[in-house]
Amino acid sequence: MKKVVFFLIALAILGLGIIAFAQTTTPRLWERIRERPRISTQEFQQNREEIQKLIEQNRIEFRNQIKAKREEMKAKIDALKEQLRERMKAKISEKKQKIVERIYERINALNERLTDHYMDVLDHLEKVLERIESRMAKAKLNGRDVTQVEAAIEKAHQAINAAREAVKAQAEKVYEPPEITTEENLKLDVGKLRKQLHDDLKAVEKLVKDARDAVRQAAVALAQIPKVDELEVPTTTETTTQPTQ
Amino acid sequence: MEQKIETKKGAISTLILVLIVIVILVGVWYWWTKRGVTPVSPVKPVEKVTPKEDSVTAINQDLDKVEILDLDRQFQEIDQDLNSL
Repeated sequence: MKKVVFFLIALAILGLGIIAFAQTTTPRLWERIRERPRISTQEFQQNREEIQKLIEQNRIEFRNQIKAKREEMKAKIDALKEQLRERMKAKISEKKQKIVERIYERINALNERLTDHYMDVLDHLEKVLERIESRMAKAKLNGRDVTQVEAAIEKAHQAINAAREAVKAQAEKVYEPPEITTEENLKLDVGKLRKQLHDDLKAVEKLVKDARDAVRQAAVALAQIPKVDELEVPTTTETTTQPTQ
Repeated sequence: MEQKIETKKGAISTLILVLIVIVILVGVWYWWTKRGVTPVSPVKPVEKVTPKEDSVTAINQDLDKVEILDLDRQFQEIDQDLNSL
């Protein structure tokens, strides 16, 4: 019986792992065409378009997940706002209550705005990376050594995925209202909440910047292939037996 | 008297002749200059060479467009409110 339970738990963990992997893994052009013995320009372009579609689908799905989560969060934030009002009533002046309430609203709004911005940046980077991969594939089909570019692309994908996960977690965060002690300590109390958001966003921003740098590194590696822009899909290509120089 | 009239006629004829020569010369000069001017062909619009969308140039141009907002500037409104507490 224990063995069966253990097996089921392991299966569930594996299943969740596969789902998570599927959600975070970006469709890749070279992985798609590498097994094909021959590829024509049209087929190459068709594969690219399919990859672009998949990337777009993933993007929409990702956004929808966050949108749904935000809808749930709205009610929670409203309830927390009400709690905050109650907490402040007897402790601070009405004027300052309004300011604290406004800060609390702005904290959650800023989190939403910046996480949306980071998602836009990552979407943009993913599209650029797809183009780098397309050019790399053309170079590889022409027998060029693309080892450095492949490694850089891999790193960039990992960096984008890591940043995306961090943005998602950040976008789904609800900030608790500040603990109000006294009117004299108000700035300090509310300042803690401000710092918390700033620190959280700074950490996410770092990952987004790392992703941008990784994509740039891939572009730099690509540019080092001589005459890379002149390379196109060769008319008769055997993708599985391409030697690298 | 007759001689005077004849001299006048001769002067007028000379003047007319000179004027005709001048008109001819001006005409020839005008024709010559017009002939020398080659018609200016309309300037062909410079064709903008758009780089292929997966070329290194296009990729770098697109990468340069990636802008990450300044985090501290985004906190300005919150900080103003905080300072008024």
